[in-house]
Amino acid sequence: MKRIFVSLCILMTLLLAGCSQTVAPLPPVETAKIGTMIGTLSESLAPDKYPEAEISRFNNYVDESAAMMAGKIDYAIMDYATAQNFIKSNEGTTIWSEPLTDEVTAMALKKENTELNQKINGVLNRYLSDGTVDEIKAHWFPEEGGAYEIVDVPKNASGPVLRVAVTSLTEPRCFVNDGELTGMNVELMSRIAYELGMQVEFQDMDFKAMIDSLQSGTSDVIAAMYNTPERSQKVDFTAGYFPNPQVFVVMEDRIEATEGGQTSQQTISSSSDLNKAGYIIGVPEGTPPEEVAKEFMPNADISYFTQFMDGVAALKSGKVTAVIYDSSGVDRILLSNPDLVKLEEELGNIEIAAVVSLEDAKLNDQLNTFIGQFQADGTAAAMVERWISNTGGVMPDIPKPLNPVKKITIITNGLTEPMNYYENGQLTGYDIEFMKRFASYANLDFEIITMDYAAMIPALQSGKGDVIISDFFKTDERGQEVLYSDAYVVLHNSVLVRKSMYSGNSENVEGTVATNQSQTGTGSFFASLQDSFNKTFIVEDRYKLVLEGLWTTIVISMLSLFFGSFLGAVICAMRKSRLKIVSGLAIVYIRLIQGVPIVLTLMILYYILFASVDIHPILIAVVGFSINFAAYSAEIFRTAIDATDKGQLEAAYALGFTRVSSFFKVTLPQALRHILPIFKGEFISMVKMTSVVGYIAIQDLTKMTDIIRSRTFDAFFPLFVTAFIYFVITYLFIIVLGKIEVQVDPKRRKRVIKGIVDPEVSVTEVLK
Amino acid sequence: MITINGLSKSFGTLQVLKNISTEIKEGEVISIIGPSGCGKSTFLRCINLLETPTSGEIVIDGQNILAKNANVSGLRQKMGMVFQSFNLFSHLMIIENLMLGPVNLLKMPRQQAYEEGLAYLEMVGLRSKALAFPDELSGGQKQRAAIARTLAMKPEIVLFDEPTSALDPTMVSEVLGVIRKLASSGMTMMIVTHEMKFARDVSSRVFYMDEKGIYEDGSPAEIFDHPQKAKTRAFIRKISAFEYTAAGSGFDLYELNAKIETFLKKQMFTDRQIMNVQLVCEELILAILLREFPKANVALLVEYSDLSGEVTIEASFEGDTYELEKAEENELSLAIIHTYAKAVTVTNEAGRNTVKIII
Repeated sequence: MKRIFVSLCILMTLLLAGCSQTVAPLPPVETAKIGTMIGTLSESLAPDKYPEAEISRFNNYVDESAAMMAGKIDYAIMDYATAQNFIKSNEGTTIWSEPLTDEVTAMALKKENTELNQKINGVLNRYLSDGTVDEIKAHWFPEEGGAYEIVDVPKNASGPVLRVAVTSLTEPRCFVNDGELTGMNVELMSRIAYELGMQVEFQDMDFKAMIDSLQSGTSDVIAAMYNTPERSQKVDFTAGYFPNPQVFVVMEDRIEATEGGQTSQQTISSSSDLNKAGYIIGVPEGTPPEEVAKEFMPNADISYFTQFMDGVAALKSGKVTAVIYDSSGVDRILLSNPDLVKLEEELGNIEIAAVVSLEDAKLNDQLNTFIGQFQADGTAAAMVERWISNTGGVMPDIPKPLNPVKKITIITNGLTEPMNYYENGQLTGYDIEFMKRFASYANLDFEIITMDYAAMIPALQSGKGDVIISDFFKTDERGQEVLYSDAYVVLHNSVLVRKSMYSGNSENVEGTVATNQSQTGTGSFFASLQDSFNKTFIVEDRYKLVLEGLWTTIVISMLSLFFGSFLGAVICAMRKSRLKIVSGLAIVYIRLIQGVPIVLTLMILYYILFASVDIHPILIAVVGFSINFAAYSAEIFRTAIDATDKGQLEAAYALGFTRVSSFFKVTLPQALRHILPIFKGEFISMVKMTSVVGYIAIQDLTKMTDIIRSRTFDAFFPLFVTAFIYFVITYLFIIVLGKIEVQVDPKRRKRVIKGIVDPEVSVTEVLK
Repeated sequence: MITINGLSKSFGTLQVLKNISTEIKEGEVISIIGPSGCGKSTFLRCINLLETPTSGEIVIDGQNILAKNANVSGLRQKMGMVFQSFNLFSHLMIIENLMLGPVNLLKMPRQQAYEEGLAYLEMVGLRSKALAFPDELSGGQKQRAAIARTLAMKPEIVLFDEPTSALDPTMVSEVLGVIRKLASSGMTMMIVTHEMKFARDVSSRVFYMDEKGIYEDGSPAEIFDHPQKAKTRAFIRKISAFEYTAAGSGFDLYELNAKIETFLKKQMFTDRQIMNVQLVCEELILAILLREFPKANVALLVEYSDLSGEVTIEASFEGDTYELEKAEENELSLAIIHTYAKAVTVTNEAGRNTVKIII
């Protein structure tokens, strides 16, 4: 029940996000939705053969392909040659199963046994037997679905003309390319004409007009037509040279989604079963698992993820067929995911190493010495026992050195159980123990920063961190960019698949499920909600993580609002200055900042401008958002100020107010009315934009959701709750700003004069 | 109190004011009249530096406002200005408009500013609108409020830049009434205006501005009744006389009537009086003259004399002598005309007939 519920929610979320639907399996042909093309054989074939099916008729292949993509038809029927072309231009489609019919294309000749007809037959038969036809076919229907091979065909400069009737809308048999008629039929007929010492002329016409043209003597031969009894009465046919049966075209991913049934899906029991076109293997990029995928499953497609958690989510939702990762993570995942299963075979080792920058050989040497030592004295083995072979590992007490020689920054991910993960709000795991032991050994103080895997090497190279200790797979390739230590633990490649596809020995580590569930009826909906709530917030006091993240988000938003508005006012003043240089500078600033996505601005600040500056990333985020907010605020202020009445300013001057005091007394109060509505909106945009600070190693509200999700693998609850929290804070801001708006709008406030006493004058006198 | 020496103002290459020198004494009420675009408003705005003169000096109470270290704000506080487009502060209530200057610039306590403000509002008849916002007032009310606002600063001189030009004719009189009252209280004023009758009534001195400067300067009687210089004369004549040419019997009577109405309204004629003049003109031109001479170009001149209070209607055209009074067909029309006319004269000189009617 829970699975259905979760699937429904994921489906809903995905639909709402406008993504494509989850992949539905193919229904049996007899009752499926079938697409046919008007004017072709498929139009009459389909209702004949599948009278119970829902048949749609299309005018052109563009419409039919759109319908297939949208899932409105399950199967499309068309002839083989057209199908080849169709799947070429419609990614994700493929030809499925056996052909339905057995037509073979032949040439048609006038119903008289002329010399010409005999000659044509002669050449064609020779070509069929000596492999020329196959050769020509290969030019236009290449094996791997590559580009056509257009060869030069010899031509006769003189001689009688062979007039060939063709229809040029059948790529790749006969079509117009770069203004010229080309294609398989064209090549074949040209060669035949050449052999006969003739020149060739192609007459492009409608299919229906061809037989008449032949009979009336306007054409000598029809290049391509099926031999049917009806037509044989009117014309003669040569031998067939191109088998072109009707076939089914379907969506590739639906084949895979069809379990059991009549599709060619098999169950998986070993890695070789995964080596099949149409399967997708999820791996982290540039790692041993990727090499395994390429080596053992070359026919399958590869999909990349940066965190293991994302790979698992993709596996569970059916986006990939299998995931390859290191054994520690895989084993741990199985405990909380009874719907996943590990393949038994081991597919090679993965060395886990620490990573330092190329210049830091000294640190690397220290690491290697330490690694040698801790493996020799049994500590390594004990750690493997504690974290990898068993669950529930408790971090032993390893105090920080009292007099450290210096402090280093260690980069880790924080979302990779059991190597580095959050428990009870604290980072723990194999890697963390390793860090503590190493620091103690090398007499170093350390601080840990967390980030995505993709950000780690840039952070290392820009000096944000001194060493990466984060379940990092050692590969030869990256050895060019960074320095690897010796392996401190060796894991192996493990393959995860869904249990529904698994057909092997069920002796895998399945473990116990964390909480009880009632399986009966409607109660289980609320029970699963309750379970989700429990996992997301209560277990390990995870609500504290959420509150921490929320606080970070609020701090960044409020500070950026304050500094950004102030900076915006300055930029606006510069913009309105009469000095060309000053206003020019302001304009450049505004255009530049408005033109760069905030994510890039943040990364430029973090990795480049503030690279060597030791400053808390939250401050960098505030700088980034303030700069961004200022650019938009400046323009808002300017438009609002320009919108106010110049005449009133003159009146103020005439009364004796200076420029400055006139601005504050007359322009500003009126401008505020124009500023606030849009300002409100910009601020709320900014609050939502802060959700990207995860890119620069800040743990805001959104990142906290990631952290929680990496433990629970429950996508629905954390995401919806986080969205709800963002909604609540922005709504609160709207209310507060709304109150300010009312204060500022003179009409909305009460008609009371400040600082005076007068019982006489009253509001009612004013109303007309 | 204000001495102006060699004031010149150019906008780029266009010189609007050239070398103006004059003196304004306390208690004077000066009307500034002249054709459009001759720099009347520019001249006024130069005095309180809303426009910056290109050269010259303006000395107010012994201080040259154009000097480098001049206290411009301070000097401006001594001069009030009333604008054509009112320019009330739209985000403040009327009473707050009045209080803003005194409280912030004169450092007056709020309660005092409030009470004084109410007094000024009462003076202009707007006390009940103290808590209203400017956009809740009519045009005439806005301008009166604007006048009260300048008075609240207790200026030494008030500058009016076409105070009634943006007003509906029905509201013009209420504002003129306030200005009149102000003038009679002894306030020094300079008024740029197109209301000639008003200018004549209220001012003690008139500047006729033309040719980039003060073309002629004199008392109202001098300027309006006995203008000395050529252009002044032409201007006065234009504004006190109305000319129109009826070209043939198909001329546009409605247009003529409209123009008569506009002209006479300026002279403060009542609707009834205007109708009478229109009637006389219509009868004269349409019924009599063009009936007899359908192709003639009749030049019509309507003049109003303040002294005598008489309107003179003169119609002339080329043609043979025409005995207007004698023709029988004209009996009815003549009867109508004589109801209103004091005198009707017909002359013929050098092939030109002239009919003159005095109402």
